[in-house]
Order: sequence, then structure tokens, then C-alpha cells
Amino acid sequence: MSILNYDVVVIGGGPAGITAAIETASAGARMLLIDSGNALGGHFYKQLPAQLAGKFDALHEAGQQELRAKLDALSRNSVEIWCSTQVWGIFHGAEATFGNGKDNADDAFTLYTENPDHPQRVVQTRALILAPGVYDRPLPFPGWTIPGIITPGGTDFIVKTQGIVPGARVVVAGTGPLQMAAVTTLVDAGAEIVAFLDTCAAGDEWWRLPTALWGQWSRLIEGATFLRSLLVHRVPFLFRHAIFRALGTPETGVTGAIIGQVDAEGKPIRGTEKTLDVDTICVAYGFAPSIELTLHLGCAHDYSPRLCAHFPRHDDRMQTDVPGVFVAGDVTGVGGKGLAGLQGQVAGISALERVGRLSPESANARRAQLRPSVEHESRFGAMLWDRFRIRPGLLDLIEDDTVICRCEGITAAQIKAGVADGAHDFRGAKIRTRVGMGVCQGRYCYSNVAMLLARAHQCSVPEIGLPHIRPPVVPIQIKNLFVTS
Amino acid sequence: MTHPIQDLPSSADVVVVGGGVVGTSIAYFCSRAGVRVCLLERDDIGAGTTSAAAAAALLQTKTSATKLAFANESLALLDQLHDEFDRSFEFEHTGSLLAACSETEWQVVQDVAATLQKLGLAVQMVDGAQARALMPVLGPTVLGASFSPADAQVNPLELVMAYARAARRLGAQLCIGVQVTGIEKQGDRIVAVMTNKGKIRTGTVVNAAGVWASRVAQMVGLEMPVAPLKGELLITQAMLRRMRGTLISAKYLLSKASTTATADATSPKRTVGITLVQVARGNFLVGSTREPAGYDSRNTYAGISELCRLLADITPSLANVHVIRAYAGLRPLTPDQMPIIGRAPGLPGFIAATGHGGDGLAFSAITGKIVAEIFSGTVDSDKLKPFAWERFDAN
Repeated sequence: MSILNYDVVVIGGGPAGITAAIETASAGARMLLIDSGNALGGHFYKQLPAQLAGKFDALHEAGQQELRAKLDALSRNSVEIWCSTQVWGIFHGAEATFGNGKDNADDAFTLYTENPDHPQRVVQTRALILAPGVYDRPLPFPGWTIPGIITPGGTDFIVKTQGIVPGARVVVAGTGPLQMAAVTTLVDAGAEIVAFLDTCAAGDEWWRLPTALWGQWSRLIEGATFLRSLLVHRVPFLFRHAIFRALGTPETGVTGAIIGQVDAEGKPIRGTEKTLDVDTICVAYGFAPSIELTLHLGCAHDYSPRLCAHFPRHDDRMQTDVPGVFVAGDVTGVGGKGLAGLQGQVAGISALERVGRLSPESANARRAQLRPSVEHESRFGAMLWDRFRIRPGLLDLIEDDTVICRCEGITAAQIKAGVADGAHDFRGAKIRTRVGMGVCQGRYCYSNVAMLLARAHQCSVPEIGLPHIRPPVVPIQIKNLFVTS
Repeated sequence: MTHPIQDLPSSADVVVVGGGVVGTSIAYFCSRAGVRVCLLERDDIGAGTTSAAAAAALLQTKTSATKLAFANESLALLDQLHDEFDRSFEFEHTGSLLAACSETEWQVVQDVAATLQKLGLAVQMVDGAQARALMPVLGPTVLGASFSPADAQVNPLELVMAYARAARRLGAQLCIGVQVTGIEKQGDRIVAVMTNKGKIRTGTVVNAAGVWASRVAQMVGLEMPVAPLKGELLITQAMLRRMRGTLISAKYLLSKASTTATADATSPKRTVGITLVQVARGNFLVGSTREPAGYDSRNTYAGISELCRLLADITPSLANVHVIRAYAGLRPLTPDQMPIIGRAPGLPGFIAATGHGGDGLAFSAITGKIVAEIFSGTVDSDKLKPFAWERFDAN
């Protein structure tokens, strides 16, 4: 088996990963950038298929111009780019034994990857920058698995990459900044927005807007575009509201939605229910970071009560508690494109320092230069998540037969039974109920199961423990897990 | 999290250390005999070796009279329990196929079959085509096989939970998150077990701590020759039913036979052989490597890739199936690969029930029953001889 060596490997080709790759490659480091999507850009700089190009707003076009400049910089600096590539295992030092006595150096990482054209490429590096991003966070409510329920990120994806309008009459709900973008996208695509619901109140954290938004001009333009969409199309705007129940069956798909008011903690206020005539529900509650790789690597994670999710712990050099593993971008706490890029730069600088291409003094100096901008951008992220924080009272919507783990079809009642049977942490629930044992290995249900267990035991979510992620981190075909000799 | 253990009992007739499939079975059988049992589990029920087990209770791999008789008796008990318990632990006699892919392996399979037939196990020799008819996932590399219809498959997590629930219903106290810190003796009698949550007065301790049994034995000054042997396994996505029964590659048997029990972490030597079973939920479960690696239970690239290479060779039609997770566990292994079950020489209040190697699921029921009989004094002492501590004294 041939092993390719790189000074630095970046995983994730969104704003953070691309910036990190440019930063390290422009200093002369031998660089590899890996992304699981079929084109670089991540969620933010989504690249459109040719037949859809030019169909979307000016903001999207501006983003694409920015991306083109970055792609030019990548190729100018001869960054090796692998798209459609999954990293299924990262082994430290001696764990990577190849069976021929040739072990990994103690401080190196060996990455095993899969790609349709290159099913088994193996890479070694001493510095890893992980920028895997986030995904839309579901919170279960009765009927949430009926076809016709999509997330804002999913809406953006299918409208912009496939040109499909997900429904004719849509309610947009949940909480988070992507909801606004979804409204604009859906309206442009010709859908009717029956209502826009948010679990936060109009006035939440408004006094922090001026300082947080100072300098965030593109964001203000985005906000204005969104408001114009709402006003022009007379979309009812309902704060402190949530979807209580999706109506329909697996056969009919969504035939309606029962919505209602929630209190400041997200608890549903019974008696306030109304039925909306919709065929599509676009809903998510913020984001959950993609922490599979950092969990697999054994990095420490911290819990954010605002996002109700875990993030890899890092220092101000963007290094995790595993030396040589750096993180950047939304996986560190969702701060948007600006912060992601800055973190990518910082992580790049620190990776260069680690591989000896930058002295500690110059690395410190360059990080210090970036610090004020990092702080400025972080302020915006903090304001955003104080406003759009996930309200745990929403769990009250869950009924006994509400599915919590979609892969294995495990309901809230089964989790309750597992608790009665002695499940005290995530693994205990897994052993007793099969929750998190399916194809996604708990990626989508972990945070919700952990909140339910913490509630049952009246303890904090960190006490519930994190899932233990073993390779393959993503499902991989048997034939691609060994080398034919 | 800190476990909400409210009521550690102040005393018990028997304290069982270890909440795996062996410990919970002991708790169940003792409670059924009216004994007041307290089971102490440091982590969680089934969280150790049990949760990293394959899903089979096999007879074809038991090539000595003692082991086969023991397994037969245990499987008969599991049949009864499966009828008695209110929730299924997916126990079914789906049979097993011991398959050969080379002339050498075919010789091994024939020898094994001859031995098993002599011992009274109904095994049937089949050629490659017949083997593929019995198990359509098999590929052309299979030259022949022996088929044993009585071998069973079982869900290890459901089994351990079934024992635990049944024991609890009969009054056993199962204390999760409780670590044994010491055992108090007076002369040749045990008087109490000390834990991180308090003290329990008892005259009898059952050491069912599996790979950690030697540490428990050290608390009473005894040496127990049980060492961990790592096994890596894989689990695939769930699929429609494509096979019934367990596939055992002859390589697995060879791997098992070549295992040196002198587990030496400094000179790891990995052997691999395939066992394959499709569980009730539809996932394929692929075992396993055998490697002395101390208490390290991480998965390795070599372990994963070797399992996949052998699997693709024997069942090429599964090559496109996705693996969703690898896992690994530690088998408690004794030098002669036989469990240690019985009272400790010189300390009759200390009963061993460990060293089951990779046979914990198959042997769990009979072990529980025998320990209950040891406690009540009704056990047939001849039957215990092959499992006695004393067999290691000669060396």
C-alpha cells in the first residue's frame, strides 16, 4: 500500500478549510484539502450546476466570485484537492500498524480515505486541520419524520443544486439564521410561505444588535433582503411559535401543521394551537456540529447550553487537546463565514508552526494580528446564539410514540423504558434500546437523546457522556476496507 | 455520570462481582434458588466483553467432550429461559456451517467433524454446492463444509438484559456504577466486600469480573491466570434476510487453536478467522481477530482490513455491503482455554466464574446454574473438576 505524505491535511472545503489551505500552502507547505462534497465551497459557497447558474440573487453571485478567487489561490499554491472523498478512519501513531511491522511515527496521523475513483488512498501527516462544519439540528415533535419535512439547509441544497421547489405551501419554523435565507430562497423559487415561525421573541437580545452588527454590512444586506421578502409577500411573522405537530402519513406526506405558542423556555402553551394548511414544513433548531472526527480522534468536547450541542475544545491557536489536531469554522461553535475564515487562518498558522515551517515567535505575532478581528466576529456569533438559543422546553412536544432515533426507529417511550431499566448514560441507553446503533451511529439523534436522558435523571447533558466513535466513521463498503494484493 | 445508586444493601448471601453475561446469569440462577444476591458492576450491565461479543452460541467449535457437554447443557437451559422470559433474546437454533476454502482446511473440517460425531454431535458433511445451497452468501472458494443444525444465535445485549431483569424481579439487587475496592477476610472466611459506595457484609463472593477477574482475585491474595485476548469485529448496515445460521471459516478454528494463552502484550500476534451471522435486525456481524494486546481494545486498520479481506474471499456477494462500525472487546482467557469455575483452594467463600474466552454467551446459562449449585452444596463435584483452580497448580 502506498502512503502519501503531506505537511498539513485539511478536512472540509468550506470557508474555514479553504482559508486554512491557502494560508498553509502559501507558506510553502505540502498541502492536501479533502472534502466529501463533489465541489469545494461547503454550505456557504454552494457551487451551482451550470443549468442553474445565474438563477439566484446577487448575494449568491457575490459569494461565487469570492469562491472563484479562493479557488484560484488554491491552484496557484498547488494545493492538492480531493473532492467526493470520505475520511473513514484516522489512526494515531502505532494504532495504524500496517501489519508489516512498519508503524506510524508517534506524532503522526494516518488517514484512510474513500473516493469513487480512488477507493483506498492513505495519507500521513503531522498536522490535521478539521473544518467539517455543521448540519441542521432536528428536534423531534409528533409527525416530524413524515415526508415533506425538510430543513433550511436541505431546502437551500435542493433548490440550488437540483432546481426543485420542495412544496407549494410552506411553513418555515424552528430557530436560527438559515431560516431567513430559506424564506428568500423559497419565495424566489415560487413557493408560497404560509407563515414564518420563530421560537425566539422579536425583542430577544435586540439591544446587542448595534455592537454585534457593527461592520457586518453584508449581513445587514442579507437581513434587509429577507425582510423585503417577508413584507412583499405578506408572510405572517409569528414569534414565540413552534410546530406542535405535523399532520399526514408516510403515504400522503405532510397535509398540514398544528402550530402554537411557546414560552421563553420553549414550553408549548396548550390551548393556543392553530392548524395551517401546508404541504411542506421547513424546520430546524440551529445547528449541530459534525464532531465525528474529533470524537474518533479522542479530542475533548465542551457542551454549549445555547446550542444544546457539543463542540471540540480548542485553545486560541485553534489546537484541540490532541497535539497536531486543529479545528476551524462552524464546528467550533457556529460563528458564520467571517469567523470561519479567520479561524482557518489561525489554524493554518498554528499547523505551520507545528510542522516547523513557522517559528513560534512569528506564529504568535501573526495570530496576535488576527486576534482583534477574531474577537469582533465572535461577538456577532455570541449575539446570534443568545438570540437563537435552543429552548429545551420544546422537548415537551415529544409524545410516547414520537421517533427519536430514526435509523433504528426508537421512540421516546422506548427510551423511557430504557431509563427505567437502568440506562444512566448514552451508552446505557444504547445497550438497552439500540438507540444510536444504526447507520448514522448517533450522529443525528445523540444530542436529542442526551437531552432526554439528562431530563429523566435531572442531571446536565455532559454527564450523559458522548458517543464513542469507532472506524469507519462513515459507512464504507467491505471491498474498500482492504487492499487486494 | 455519577450513578444514582440509592440502596447498596448492608448484607447479602452472595456478592457477585461483574455484570456481564456470566455475572447476571449467576445472579439470576442464585436468586431463583432463593439466595439473596447483590451484583456489583463497575460500569454498566453488559458494558464490557458482553457488548463486544459476536452473536452466536456455537457447538461446532467445542471439540472436547467437556466443552461440548457443557455447551449442550447451556443451550438447553437457554431454550428454557427463552420460553420463560417475557422478552425475546433472539435465541434460535439456526445452525452453523464450518466452511473450508482449501485442501488443508477441508482436512481440518473433516477431522473436527469426525471428533464431534464421536462426541455425539449431529454434524453433516456437505460439498461446496450443498454449502452454497444452505448458505447462499457463500462464494465459489468454499470447497466443502460441515453443518451442525443445533448451533444457535443469540443477541448478547438482549440476553444480558434478560438475565438482569429476571434476577431483579426475583429480588436480586443489581448495583451499577459500584466498584469493588477490597474484600475483607477473617482467617479463611470472607466477611465483607468494600466498595466505593460502602461496605456489604457477606460470606461469599463470586468473581465474575471476566478479563478483570485477576484484579479481584488479588484483593484476597490469590493469583488467577486470566488474561485479555483482544477481538475486533465489524457490523454492517441492516439488510433484507440473506442468510440463516452462523458461518464459521475453518481459518477461525485454526486461529482459535493457535492462540497462545500466554498473552504477552509486548509481542502481539494477531490471527484472524471469520464468523458471520445476520442478526434479527438484519445487520451482518463479522468476527473476529484474536490478539494479545493487554487491556487495549481499540480498533486497528490491520484488524479491520484483514477481516474484510477474508470476508470478501469467502462471501464475495457481500463485498458491496457497507460496514457501519467496527468494535473490539477483550476475551478472558485461561492458559488451557477452559473457564475457571469453583471455590478457591483455601478460601471457600471465594467462588470463581470466569475465563470463558470467547464462549461466554454459550456457557453463560450453565455457569449460572453451577454457581448456584456450588453455593447450595448440591453440585456434582466430578463435573467441576475440569474447571477447578487446582489444575494450574502443577506448573
